[in-house]
Amino acid sequence: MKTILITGTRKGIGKALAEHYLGGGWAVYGCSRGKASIEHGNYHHFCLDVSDEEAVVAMVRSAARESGGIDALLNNAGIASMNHFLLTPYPTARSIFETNVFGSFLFCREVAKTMRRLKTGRIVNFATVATPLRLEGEAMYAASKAAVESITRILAREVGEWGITVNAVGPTPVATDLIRGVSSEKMEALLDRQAIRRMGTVEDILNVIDFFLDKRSAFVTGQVVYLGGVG
Amino acid sequence: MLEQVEELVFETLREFGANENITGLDNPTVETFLYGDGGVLDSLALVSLISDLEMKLEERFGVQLTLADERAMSRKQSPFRTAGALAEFVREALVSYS
Repeated sequence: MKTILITGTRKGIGKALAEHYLGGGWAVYGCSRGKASIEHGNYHHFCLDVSDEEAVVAMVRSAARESGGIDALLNNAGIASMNHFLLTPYPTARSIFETNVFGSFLFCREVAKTMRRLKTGRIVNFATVATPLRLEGEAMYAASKAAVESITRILAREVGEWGITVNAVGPTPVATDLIRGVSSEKMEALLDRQAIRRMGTVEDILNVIDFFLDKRSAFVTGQVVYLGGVG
Repeated sequence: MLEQVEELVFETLREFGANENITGLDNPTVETFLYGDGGVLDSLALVSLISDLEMKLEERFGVQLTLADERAMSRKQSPFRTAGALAEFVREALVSYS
């Protein structure tokens, strides 16, 4: 049985990803700040903050030990905040970077250590179309995801020798809590900048992730794939 | 305690050398040069060794240490220069952890 570690599995896209891979026969190790919302014999939940180094190290090593090795990591956990730059509170900016950048960094680092021993592995990070669109009101969110893109591209080069691929998917807006506070006017304006003017779906994201995880994608690394014709 | 840690470091070095075909790690001593001038490890091998050592520490002592921390990186004398320096660094890390 293959093992996948997915962050932010309590709700939204992360929960859908976990359910998809459980349905495909994978063992899923998930985490969130809150308790599990998935009940399945092959689902293992950890309550943690993704920027808590000690908790992340403990989760990854526990998952690797129990499963015999982690085949894939999906760094889905993320937070956003819609603010004009001049009205962005420092704690908000810091919180966005702690979850999106440092959380992804910690999981990439710890999971890559375990994958190195197996000489194979797939890491998929989460970018956003807000970065190439230079989306007003999302400066710190887009900046945090730009950092995730850089980590993705550079880490791919640093771990390629060990058979580990590192890629990122850049979704368009999907109807989740993450965009709950965005007005319909702003959303329409955003969709107008896409080549294909519609909201994204979990299936759109899954399609890209499945491609990255496919054993035939062993030569695909350091790539960021945006959905909706953005970029 | 240092002897116990030294033996664990040497054991990890022997296994690592055998797995990665690195000559010079068959019979390590405290004076074995690891990284830097005259060392047997390149930077990528050092990364792998530290990772293996972290896993070994967890298996043997049940501790989850991250060895490449700020203490290691900010030292004037690198704790990765020799096997002896590495063992002493690991011992200090274990003491701090406990």
